[in-house]
Amino acid sequence: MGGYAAYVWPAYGIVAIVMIANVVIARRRHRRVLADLQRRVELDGQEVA
Amino acid sequence: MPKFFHQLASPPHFYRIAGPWARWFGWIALVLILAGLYGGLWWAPPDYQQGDGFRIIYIHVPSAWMSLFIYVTMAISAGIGLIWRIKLAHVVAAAAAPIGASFTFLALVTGSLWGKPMWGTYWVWDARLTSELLLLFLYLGYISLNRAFPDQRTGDRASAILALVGVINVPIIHYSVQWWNTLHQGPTVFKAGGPSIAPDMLIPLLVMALGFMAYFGSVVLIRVRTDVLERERHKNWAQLVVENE
Repeated sequence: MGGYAAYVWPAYGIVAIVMIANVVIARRRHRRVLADLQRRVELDGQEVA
Repeated sequence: MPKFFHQLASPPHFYRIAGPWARWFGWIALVLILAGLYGGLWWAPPDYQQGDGFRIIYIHVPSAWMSLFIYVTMAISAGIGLIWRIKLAHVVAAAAAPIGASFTFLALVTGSLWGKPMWGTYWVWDARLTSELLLLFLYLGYISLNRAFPDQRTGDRASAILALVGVINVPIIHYSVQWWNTLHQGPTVFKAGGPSIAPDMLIPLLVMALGFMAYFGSVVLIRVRTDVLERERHKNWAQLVVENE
């Protein structure tokens, strides 16, 4: 990187971390909300029965 | 056309179509970003003044463009939600905000890492840097205001007003390098007379910018799906989704 490695790679690194984290957080949250609602539906079913 | 929009604004319909769209945008983003990385880090020649240091441009400029593009998207969505009372529009605005804040943060950090070797400083209170920092605070303000009220509708309306008022900052950021004497350089791509950057350097930049755009599309759709399901959890369609997925 012609003497600029100490600036270029950290810049690319932090962009990679933040962008990957955004995807992981969004997908994990979707699964969690879905699982939460599924559990609630099951609980409701038990109450009725 | 009105029927198309009416259908699009219906949460169950949106939830159904947004899943495949998020996946497609995700793959397109991956391909474009990998191509942009190859083009920016290997294919493009070093700059005659900045050497390899200029390669930060391929993440800094797309991040900065996204920070503005997402803000405008968020403000328009919030405005539509406010005027026509379309719930889904508020959901889109709220889902876009954290992604926009992320890109604003990245534009500031990568700019700082670029500024140190070129200007000799990580930070300077010039008009471009200061107005971009203000953009980050606008995003954070929108996010906290949106979540601050027990009734989500109040939060949606209050944060929408903030988003709309904050739009004034967008042209200020864009023109800051012309209106004020800044350390930050002037526009290189979007300027009168066409871009003043060699095609070998410009092409990877545009590929990267498109990749970031597709990335935003993918992540915002995932977030909208989650939010819409959570907000509508008592509705029939949401119960059906929960039982069948």
